[in-house]
Amino acid sequence: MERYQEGDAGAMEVLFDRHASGVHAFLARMVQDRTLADDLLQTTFLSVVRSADRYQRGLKLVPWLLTIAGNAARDTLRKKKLQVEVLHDDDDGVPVEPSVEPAMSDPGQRRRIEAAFAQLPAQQRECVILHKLEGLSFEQIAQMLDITETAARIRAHRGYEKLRELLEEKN
Amino acid sequence: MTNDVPLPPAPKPASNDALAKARAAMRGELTKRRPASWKASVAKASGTIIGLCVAVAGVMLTVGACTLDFLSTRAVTLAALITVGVVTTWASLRPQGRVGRIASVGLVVLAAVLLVLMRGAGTPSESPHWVCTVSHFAVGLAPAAVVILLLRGMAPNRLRSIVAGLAAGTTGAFVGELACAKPAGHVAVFHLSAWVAVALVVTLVSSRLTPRSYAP
Repeated sequence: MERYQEGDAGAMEVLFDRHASGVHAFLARMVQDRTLADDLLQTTFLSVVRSADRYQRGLKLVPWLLTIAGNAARDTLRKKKLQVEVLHDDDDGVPVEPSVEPAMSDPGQRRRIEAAFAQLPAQQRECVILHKLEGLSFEQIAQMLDITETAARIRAHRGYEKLRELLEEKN
Repeated sequence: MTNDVPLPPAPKPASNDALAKARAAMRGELTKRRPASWKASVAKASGTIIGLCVAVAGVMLTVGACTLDFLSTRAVTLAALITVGVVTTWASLRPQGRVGRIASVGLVVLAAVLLVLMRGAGTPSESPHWVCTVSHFAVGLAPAAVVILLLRGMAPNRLRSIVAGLAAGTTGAFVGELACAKPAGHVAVFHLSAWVAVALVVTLVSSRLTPRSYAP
């Protein structure tokens, strides 16, 4: 990013090669919709180019990229009032493309986890993803989301609790 | 922290098609002229606020609506308002800086208290009270339009929009110090309400626009 700021346009290609897949995975988890994640990936990298000067030297790049992706995802979900699709255990006859690879040994358990995860409020889901899956500290999450560290902890904690409750209900 | 709950496995990787589309969009954007930096945006918004204040003062002096002696009696509050306008503009448009934005709201509250306390008994006037509210609101709309356009270049954030709106509203408060001599109660109700109204308009409008960038 610093190379791009110094005028090296090719640096943005390198950045895309290194981080586009990771950003897409984050978006797919956030919005639970692959097509929307594809669109948001585009939005994220357009934002990166348009706001390259807003990247401050010394900042860690991945959290900055995920901040942009998270902002785009939240705003899109809010504006479209998108109801994240919940996969129910009972088959209603509508074929749904799974948004995760069928790697988990028990497909039923995988569906239950995915359905519970999709039911989390977007803010809690984002904190859980950033903390548990992206491995970021609460201090980093707080900085990314422009909230206090305590608020980040509370959101993640509530997300874990809600997820546990939902999984217990489904089991 | 009860974080031992299972989470969904890794999503399917992005398709080559999706990656190619995103890359093509990024390349298209790279061919365009680089947008102005955030510091240039701060300069533009601050310049609008200061320029408008100076222009209003100049016109009022020229047409004899106020005198240099009168200006000197209001020098403290006028200078405070311009300072607040610049500081809040900077706080609202800079990347990150949540603490700065909260502090700048505090600064606006302090300035508002100062405006009311410095006014004291004032001078009664026959013009209706609402004239001040409407005129201050109208003056604040030009800088409000500028900050709304600049806010499109960053991720939507309510606190950021409120602070940007308060920055734009300082112009109306400035006009109030130049053109109105009514007592403190009038300032507290009819001047400050215009300031708040400009902040609300900026917050409402910017929340409805699609940003050009989602960078913090």
